[in-house]
Amino acid sequence: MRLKSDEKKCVGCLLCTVACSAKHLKTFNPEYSDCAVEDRFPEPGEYHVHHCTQCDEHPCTGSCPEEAFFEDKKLGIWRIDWAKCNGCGNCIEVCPYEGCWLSPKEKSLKCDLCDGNPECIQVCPKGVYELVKE
Amino acid sequence: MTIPGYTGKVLRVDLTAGKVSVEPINWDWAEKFIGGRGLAARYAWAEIKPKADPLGPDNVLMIWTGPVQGTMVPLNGRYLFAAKSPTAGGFVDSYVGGHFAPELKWAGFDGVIIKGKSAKPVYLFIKDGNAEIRDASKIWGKRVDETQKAIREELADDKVRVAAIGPAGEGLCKMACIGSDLYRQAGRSGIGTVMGSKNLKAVAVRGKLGLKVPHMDKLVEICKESLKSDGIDNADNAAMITDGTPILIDMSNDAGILPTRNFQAGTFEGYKGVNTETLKSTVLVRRRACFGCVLACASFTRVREGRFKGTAVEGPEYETLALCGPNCGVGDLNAIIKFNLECDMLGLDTMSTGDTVAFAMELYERGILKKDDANGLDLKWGNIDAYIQMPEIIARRKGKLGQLLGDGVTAAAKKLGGDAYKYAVAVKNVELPAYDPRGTMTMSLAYATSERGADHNRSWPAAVEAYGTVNPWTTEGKAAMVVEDHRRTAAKWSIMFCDFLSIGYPSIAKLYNAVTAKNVDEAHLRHVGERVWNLIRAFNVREGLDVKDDVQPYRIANDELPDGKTKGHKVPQNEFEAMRAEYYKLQNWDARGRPTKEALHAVELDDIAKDLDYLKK
Repeated sequence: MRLKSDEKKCVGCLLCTVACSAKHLKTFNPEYSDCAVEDRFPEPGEYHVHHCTQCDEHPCTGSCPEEAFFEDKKLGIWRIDWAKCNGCGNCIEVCPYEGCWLSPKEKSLKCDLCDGNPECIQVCPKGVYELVKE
Repeated sequence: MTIPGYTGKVLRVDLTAGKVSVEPINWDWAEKFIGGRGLAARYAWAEIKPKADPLGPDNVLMIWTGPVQGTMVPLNGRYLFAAKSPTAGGFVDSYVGGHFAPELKWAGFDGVIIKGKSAKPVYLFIKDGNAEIRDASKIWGKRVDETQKAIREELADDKVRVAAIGPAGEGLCKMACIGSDLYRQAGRSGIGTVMGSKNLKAVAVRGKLGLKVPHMDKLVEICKESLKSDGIDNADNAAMITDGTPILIDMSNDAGILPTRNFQAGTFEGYKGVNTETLKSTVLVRRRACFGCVLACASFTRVREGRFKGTAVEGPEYETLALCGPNCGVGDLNAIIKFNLECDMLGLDTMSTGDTVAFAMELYERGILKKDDANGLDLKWGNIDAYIQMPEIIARRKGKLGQLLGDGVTAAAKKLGGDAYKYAVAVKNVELPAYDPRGTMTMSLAYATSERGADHNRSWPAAVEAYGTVNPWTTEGKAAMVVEDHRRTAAKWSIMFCDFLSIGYPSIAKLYNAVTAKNVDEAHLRHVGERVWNLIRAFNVREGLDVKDDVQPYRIANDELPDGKTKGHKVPQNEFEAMRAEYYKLQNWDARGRPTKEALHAVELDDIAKDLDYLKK
């Protein structure tokens, strides 16, 4: 499974980010969200939506010195074990899609698809996000 | 005591001493007045000395949020600035959306209290539980967009949220607003002027602390349901999703209440050039939302051709379209967008500026204002060349025209003398919004009794009169509607929902309870609303305002509209006064519009009553 987004539909409400942090870390805080929305106004006048796309190459997994990544076979994705993550940032550097980043607690944040029912999809008013089975 | 949803902390800033400190929120007041409007009013009562000079160091500029800000409650991306108004003379709170509100909560504060006056230009930077006063001498003089850019560069963080004044606020222009996230304005009643008087250029905030409540999972579930039922699927919100406020242009023109050529008419021949269809088909780039909003009513627009090609702004909203468009005889949407952007970046309130330009144009057309006094401009109705220069002239008080208009239409009419007052369409020195009361007579009472001068948000009878099925040309029994609105908005804005979330008391209570883990009902919130509204009125009475200030503009009472559905209509002064008397009676205020001891006692404001001289006799 993968998360796809159509950022042309985004209106910048940031509900996806607080729903994500509330789900995973029981806080309303975009800094702890696995998705991010960047607004670029007035030029070019667009929103950019960032999140892990669960890409086939997943260079992040091999870059980790702590072997913090583990495969979620049910969803067919790679996830991060925060107990092992040392915040080195290697995974962020090698990600070609700007799909992961560091939280203020120096742990890498990466989408885990909420066990197959992503919160971002549930709260987005404009249908930006979509879960695809491929 | 603590209440979930609040950070529990207030930032106190003394600009004279150059010091900041952190204190706990007054929990008793949070219980009694909730937040937002209610807390702003209660703190204003305590912090602002009676009869303080609104542009002196004794005035207090405050920022307040409520318990829902920074959560997932629908349409919570809102905060307010409050102070004593330099125009209306009483309490002013000015609401603004965007993304500043949650950032302040995530930075650890419910509110900010700013006193004194800095000797040199400064800005306030709030971050994660602390704050610092920083030098703004290099930023002073800059436009709002340049200011945000400079501050973000200086702090090396492009996620910092900035609320700033422009040259208008710096120069103490009475129409100055505070620009937040570039395109969102805390406007009306000179709130930006107060900020300028303190030599405070901007407030910048960055918060990484987030916000938690003990019952996160339950709150999230209620919010997710509410985002749909109260938000997206709520039929009352449909127009805000598809069009936003510009949808009102057609409706107002049809109802004959679209301000045209300084309120000389209620219909405009070129209204189709500035309506929502034209906006959507010619300039709309995308919709934008404030934080936590599922409606996304804002239109981000860019002019695609002609002399203003490339000009981009978030807007124009209905008020700007109407007051800077038809009210100035302007039917060119592209020119309005340029005018809108100029006002936003200079830190000018588009509503007051549009009305003020309209006023100047009428005086010019009538020969009262000569070309020499108009900086050599040919101020004919709809003359784009002159029109487009007006924001700069007003914001910087350039030339004779800028000197005349910089404080708004009432002050300008006083300077001019003679008949000029007949064309100054304002209440308490604040220019009228875009709903002509001559096609919705109860609006005149709403404008008159608003504490911050002519305002359409505290009560908006146009919704049911001009746009609905209630007879707009009778005043009988109408005061009750305004009383109800004033209490409802006071409650809704104390919790701090956006106006555009069309929900009644049951949903308001549901969401307030969801965040705070309380179990209050509709009656409780009605009571809080009544309490807050009485407190605000008491503040104004303490400042010397009363029935003499709750008036309607000359034109509304005396000039009949010439065409459309409102042809032949005005708001006769005797009918207006009867409606106002009924309003006071329903509030249990005296004939001068002052809260009685009983009225204050009924809403547990006995401590406030003790401070009011007229109640001591």
